[in-house]
Amino acid sequence: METSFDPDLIHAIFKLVWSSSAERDEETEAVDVEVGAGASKKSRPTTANHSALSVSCELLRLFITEAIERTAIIAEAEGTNKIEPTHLERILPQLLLDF
Amino acid sequence: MESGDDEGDGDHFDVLKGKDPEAEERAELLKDRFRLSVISIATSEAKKVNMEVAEPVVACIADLAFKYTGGLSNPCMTLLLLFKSSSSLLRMASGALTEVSETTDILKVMMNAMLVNSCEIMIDSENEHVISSELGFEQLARDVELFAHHGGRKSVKMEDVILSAHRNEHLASLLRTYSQELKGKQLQNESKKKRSSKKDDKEIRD
Repeated sequence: METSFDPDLIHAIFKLVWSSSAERDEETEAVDVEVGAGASKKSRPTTANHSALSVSCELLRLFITEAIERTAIIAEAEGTNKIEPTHLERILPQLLLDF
Repeated sequence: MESGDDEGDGDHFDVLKGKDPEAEERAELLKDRFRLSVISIATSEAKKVNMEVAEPVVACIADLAFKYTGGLSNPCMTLLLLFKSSSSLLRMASGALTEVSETTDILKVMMNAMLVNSCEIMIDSENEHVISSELGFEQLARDVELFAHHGGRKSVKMEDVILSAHRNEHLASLLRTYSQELKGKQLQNESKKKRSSKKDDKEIRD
């Protein structure tokens, strides 16, 4: 069984973001008086499905794994078996573009 | 290379701090738990390929992953690595041979670099220092929320998460297989429950 993230932890982090964006949406609605009360679709913060959280954990685990494996390739090519920041530096742009 | 401590440039990141101390404390707690998970995953992955990972590398990966998920952070080390990696990228692209070391030069390079799409950098024009940066800010949480809302839902589903990985086809297909396995397991568990509850009913009747 692979070690992975705790779904509750990921959920907690998501909630941080969603509660602040719910606040932002409320503020913009307060400005928009003409729209009226009916358009408050986004008034409550987003929630997440249990399986969505598991898939998110998997996604993040893949991010870490990719980072390590790509740096390992560079390190191996240099003949060392310790992954150093210089290795990370080289794979970083492509990694960030892929995720 | 610096030892990965992100307290040095505290003054430069005041714009992000002080908005809500309580939320910040919560975020710090989550960040620490997150970092612990990353350390365990990273070290086990490295072991699989017979490698050791230097501590600053894990710290940087943790930082980036946390950012990607939705946490705030002020990753000086990560910033530095990003600067260096984008400048080296540009150097390779433009065939230049000189080292980019001045802060302003680095900033100019960053502006042109590919990474500028995921970084928003605010520059204090007087001192020409980076005073805040939001690297790929909240990508995952935000994307997934937008997809859910776009589909007229308030709850994020598996499909939303898979969609957010659309930039890399291979990644998306990996996630899809994972989600199908999950669904398969769920169905198995549900049918087991149904079978066992039917058994219980039968036993009660008997």
